[in-house]
Amino acid sequence: MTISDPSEALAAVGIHRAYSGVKALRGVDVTLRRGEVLGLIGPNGAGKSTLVNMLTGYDRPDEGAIMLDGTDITGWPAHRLARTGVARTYQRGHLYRDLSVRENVEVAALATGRSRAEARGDATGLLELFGAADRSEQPARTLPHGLERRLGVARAMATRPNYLLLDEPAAGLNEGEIGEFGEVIRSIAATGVGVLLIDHNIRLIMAVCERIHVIVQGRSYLEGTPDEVRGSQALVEAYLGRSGTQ
Amino acid sequence: MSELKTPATGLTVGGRDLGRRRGRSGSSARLATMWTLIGPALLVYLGTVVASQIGGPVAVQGAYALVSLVAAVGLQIFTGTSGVLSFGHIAFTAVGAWAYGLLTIDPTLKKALLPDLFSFLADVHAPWPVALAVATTVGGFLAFAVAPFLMRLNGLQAGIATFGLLMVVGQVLTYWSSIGPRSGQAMVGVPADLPLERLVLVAIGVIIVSWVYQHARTARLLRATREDLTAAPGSGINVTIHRVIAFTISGAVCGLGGGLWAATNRVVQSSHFGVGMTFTIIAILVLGGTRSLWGAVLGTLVWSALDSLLVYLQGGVTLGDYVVSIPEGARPIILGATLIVALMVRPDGLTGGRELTWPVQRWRRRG
Ligand SMILES: Nc1ncnc2c1ncn2[C@@H]1O[C@H](COP(=O)(O)OP(=O)(O)OP(=O)(O)O)[C@@H](O)[C@H]1O
Ligand SMILES: [Mg+2]
Repeated sequence: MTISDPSEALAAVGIHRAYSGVKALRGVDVTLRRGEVLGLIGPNGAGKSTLVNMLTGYDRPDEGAIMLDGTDITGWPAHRLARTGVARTYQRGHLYRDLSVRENVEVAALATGRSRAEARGDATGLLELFGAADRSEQPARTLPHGLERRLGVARAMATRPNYLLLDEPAAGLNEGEIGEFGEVIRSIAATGVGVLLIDHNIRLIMAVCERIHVIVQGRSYLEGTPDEVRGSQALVEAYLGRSGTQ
Repeated sequence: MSELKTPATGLTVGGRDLGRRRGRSGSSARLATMWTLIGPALLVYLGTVVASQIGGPVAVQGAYALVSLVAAVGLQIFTGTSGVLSFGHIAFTAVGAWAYGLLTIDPTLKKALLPDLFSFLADVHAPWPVALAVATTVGGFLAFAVAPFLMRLNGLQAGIATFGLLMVVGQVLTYWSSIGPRSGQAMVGVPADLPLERLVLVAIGVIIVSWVYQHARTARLLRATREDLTAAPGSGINVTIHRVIAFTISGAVCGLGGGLWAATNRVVQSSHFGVGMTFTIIAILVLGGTRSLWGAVLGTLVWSALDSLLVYLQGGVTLGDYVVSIPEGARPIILGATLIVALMVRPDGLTGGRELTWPVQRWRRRG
């Protein structure tokens, strides 16, 4: 694997991070390029969410650096990174529960430099795209689970990101919804956005990702195309063997 | 992201308003929005007219209610929008009252009553509008100065830290005789420049300020931080900055409230600005619903009306052959019990934290 143009990527370089003795990350190197969908998989507690926190300014590494389009952005606060084109969703949703569905999206657009009219237009389009348009005036907390996840992605897209980091966005979706969702992810990447997709649904990962990065116990374990990863005996032992057939 | 076409839906995203809501928005939506300003302002105005018609103690109670309203609206701007507790806003009210008193008390009287004043404070004399402007500025400035230290805290820590501010300010105002009376004494002789008809205009002005703030970008972003503090930075929101803005505006409004208090009470003393006033304003806001301007207005109205009624009953009311009265000391018990019951029935306050809805549209939607 080669990095085509280091000035067009979001990269974690040699990341280590410990929490009061627990080594959550101990040597992660991963590069997300614009326009690709990169899968990030690993057993529970492997450090996937921790890595997303590092890449989005939610937490700082003890060692290593975060590079955005060739600039060292280690230690930048999350709100600044969001305005510089790095967006994310959360494993636990974290919607603005009592705000309307529309306001959830508009707020993210407003905070990243859109005018009121632009924010309104972006929100309308995104809510259509993610199938929440007819619920746009109700509070986000009233959404069914599947729409909740999609609203999280719509809100992230409202920041007009170059990189989109999705932490288990398909958890709890049914088969049909997952299929549609995969298509939406592909179409987002097709516009030039680099998408990092964390999910335990291996079928979804295999279907939409060009490359897959495997983390085990806080370390980059292996990376390759879906076919390479599927054929890896090491992966089966390290991951599938341990956490079942998810 | 400029344009995004999806195979799934064929929709285009970015920069294009599909105008789905156009039908329902337009003039009726604008009317509904304006009503959230006009409704509360009208109610405050009418309430004041009624109080002033009845006159006597009711008019006096009405004046204090307008002062409480300004403080409650001030607190709502910060706590309601950010979701962060503050037990310290009465500190801004206190410095506002101080500023107003020092500027309006006649210099000859001041020199006799407050002998240790800095000479520029002893000599200064200003008309009431200037004094109110200074009270507002002083409140806002103090809030802005302490905000960077307080705005990183959340929940109960924030509440207690702001309470610490109140303690410090209270102590300084009590003992620093270069800026006020000697230890714990009162500033008297504040001129009665603000009768009900002026007070109500200032109160409506504050309602307008709050309404304009609520619709500003900064308030929308701060409301998102209230809903989810984790997600807000990920949406590009700098939590601290928007909290500082709200805290400063809120402190300014509470400082203005202090000026109004001074003009209404005519006597200013540091012991007025303590836990009692703090929790009365918080109770008013929580009773009405912290999350809306309407909550601050309705909370003040209900609280003040009930309080006035109880004061009235304490004096004894003759109904035919009976004299209805409540025993001395029962007033706080009844107020407290009312608060408990109201919050049990409506945990989000009487308004549920919503703004006043335009009655006509609601009726039309039902039909
Ligand atoms: N803020 C924190 N404080 C303490 N420990 C943490 C913190 N964040 C993560 N950890 C620990 O780091 C390890 C990695 O957690 P992380 O959430 O990144 O795993 P994950 O790969 O996302 O797992 P899952 O698939 O269950 O979401 C875990 O042992 C976790 O307990
Ligand atoms: Mg995780």
